[in-house]
Amino acid sequence: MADASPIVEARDVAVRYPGAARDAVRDVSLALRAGERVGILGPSGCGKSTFALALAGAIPALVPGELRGTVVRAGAVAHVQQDVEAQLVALSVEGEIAFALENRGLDPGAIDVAIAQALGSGPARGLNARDATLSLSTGWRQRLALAAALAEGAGLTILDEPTAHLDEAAAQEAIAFMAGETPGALLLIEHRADLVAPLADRLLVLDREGAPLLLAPSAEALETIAGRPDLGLRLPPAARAALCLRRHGQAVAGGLMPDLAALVHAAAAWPADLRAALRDDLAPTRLPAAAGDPLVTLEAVSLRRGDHRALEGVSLTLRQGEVVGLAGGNGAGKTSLCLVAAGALRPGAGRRIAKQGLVAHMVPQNPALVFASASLGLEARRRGLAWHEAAASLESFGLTADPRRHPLHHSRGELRRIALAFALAGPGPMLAVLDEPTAGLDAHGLAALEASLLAGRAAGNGALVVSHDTDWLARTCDRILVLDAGRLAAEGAGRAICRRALDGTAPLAAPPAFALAAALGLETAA
Amino acid sequence: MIGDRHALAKLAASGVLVLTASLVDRLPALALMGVVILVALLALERRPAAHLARRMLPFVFLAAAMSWIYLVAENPAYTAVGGSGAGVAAVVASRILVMGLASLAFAETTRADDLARALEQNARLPRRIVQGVLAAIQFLPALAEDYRMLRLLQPRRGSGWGGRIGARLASLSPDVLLVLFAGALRRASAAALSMQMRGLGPLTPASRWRERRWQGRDSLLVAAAIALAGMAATLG
Repeated sequence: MADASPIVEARDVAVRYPGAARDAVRDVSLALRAGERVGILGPSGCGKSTFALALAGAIPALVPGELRGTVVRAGAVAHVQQDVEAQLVALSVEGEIAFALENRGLDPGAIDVAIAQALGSGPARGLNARDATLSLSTGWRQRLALAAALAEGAGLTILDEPTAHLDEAAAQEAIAFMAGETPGALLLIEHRADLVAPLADRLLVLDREGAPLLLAPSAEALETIAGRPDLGLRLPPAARAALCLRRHGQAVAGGLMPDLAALVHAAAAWPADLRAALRDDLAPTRLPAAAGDPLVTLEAVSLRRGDHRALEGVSLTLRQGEVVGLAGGNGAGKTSLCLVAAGALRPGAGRRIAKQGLVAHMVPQNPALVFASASLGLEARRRGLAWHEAAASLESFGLTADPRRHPLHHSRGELRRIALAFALAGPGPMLAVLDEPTAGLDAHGLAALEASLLAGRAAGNGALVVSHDTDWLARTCDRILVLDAGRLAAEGAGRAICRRALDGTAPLAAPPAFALAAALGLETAA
Repeated sequence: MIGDRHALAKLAASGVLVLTASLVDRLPALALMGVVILVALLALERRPAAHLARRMLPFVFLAAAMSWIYLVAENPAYTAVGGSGAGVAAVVASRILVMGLASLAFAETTRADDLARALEQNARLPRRIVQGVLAAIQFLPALAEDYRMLRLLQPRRGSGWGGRIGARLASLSPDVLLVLFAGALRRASAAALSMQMRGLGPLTPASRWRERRWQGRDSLLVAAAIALAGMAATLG
């Protein structure tokens, strides 16, 4: 049970960054007690991270900004930033976990115990203490950052988008671990209400202006989120099912956090039209497109990166008018395959055959790396795009960009959408290779990405899209490839891959929405 | 084994050898030092010869370049070590190779975080400085990776791999450098924030986790390096 005295209490907090015309966040109050878990949800750029920095005491002490209101803390704060690449500061896994504990003067024996515990269970399970942090994939770096923060045993642990680069299995595992293992208070910042809602006792929802919409128990907050699609927040599959049932006049106990067993029990009596509607909502899949000409063919491609073999004998063909998903666990070789498919890396063995005149655009996990011009207008021209074409694509991603503005003057979230908009615009034949484009995108961004991909598909372009969101891949892609330890472990249409993930014949976590559809008898086993 | 010794002992031993190699100017002395270090790496540390050869490549190129200068451009101004052009070239090349081997012996047997901890706990360097340098070390490969990605990710047509010199030069445009600089700045700010929020500061004394005590064998390693340096100096 939550203790009576708050570990941290914020009253009417507002933050304005130097030179900003308006507050990044305003009038937010929140008290967190030991054992309590609160999720902060809101659209991109609404000030979630800013509020977390204020709670942690970083604003104005470490980050310049005007803080109004009061923040009272009664204990240490562990904080994992959104930018996990810059979060890690030590050279070894054990050094990273020990870093904060050393700084706090903990007994050396206790630090060893904390390291052993952090590596024995939880997000970093599977890492070796002496592994070099530089050799870890982004997903594993995120796992390590989480483990290091949880090992601190701080009164308040703040995790800013802690699952953005985790595969579904690791994300679920991390959430489950946090649910059971954090004695202090936990503050989770997420785009995905589906991940946070089941874990959090309360949800704080911010609007686009950074003002609080509500602070309420998860079930109640989900009702508000469901009524505000403009916020772009993704509902948990069970909440989507409950909404669908409601629309069909079915009573659902538990509101938008229904009891799964009761749903399964009731499912047998649902009429066919309701079952079909639910299936379309939870597990829609796309019929494969008619195969066009090959854009890129990889023949038995292998690649070494450093000391490990990133790809091993991978063969595939990406065709015109086809959107192909690429799934797999952290460190499976997805980014390496993207680089080879885009023609950016030469494979060590095997070969890549590209269609004559093909232009390949890749958007990496760090979107800033695709820009090499002094303004968006010049960047568009460099890519052979007329500004009106670029602007139309930007608009589809909800951006009205100034062609004279430097790309780096945009936030990281905006940069991602600009990079995607540029990569998916322009004349064909074109191959867009997108490495985790869904990370950090809200529902609006996901819908825009899906629409742009399908528009490109209709225009005869091709796409290879990496994502840990298998539900989204199944809905968007013609087929899905699954990589495991550098090898192509499975390939098939979205529904077939989801079924294989569910029955364990593909090395992939079962996608949550598809798994719910299966549990409700809407999907039959393969 | 050298790898198990105290990081500061290895630093001191390699420092003695590098300093000695920079002072002696006789081939037998340099050859003695080179052979002893090589034997230590191959026989005691069991490092594969091919691996060592790869790691020595920068020193080999440097030695070749420097000796070439002394060979083709025999000039009194260059012959500070005395002797003929060919002799000087051989000494300079050997000196560079021995200094490279001594440095490699240290780098091959010492983890950067062990050295950092030793500098902090034994040499009493401020933790903020040591950890800041360590974080900066982390950034170098990240920066190199950013540059590589920037160069690789330009829109490409057909199946070309983009290795042309023109493309490489274009990738060093001010706009690309700005992206790299902005990325480095963002990383540095985030890392500084991360370190400070995780308690790195001047006020709380850090715990002495994984502290290595100086042992007799560590002194023995330094003594062995001094003895080798003495023998080389005698020969030189």
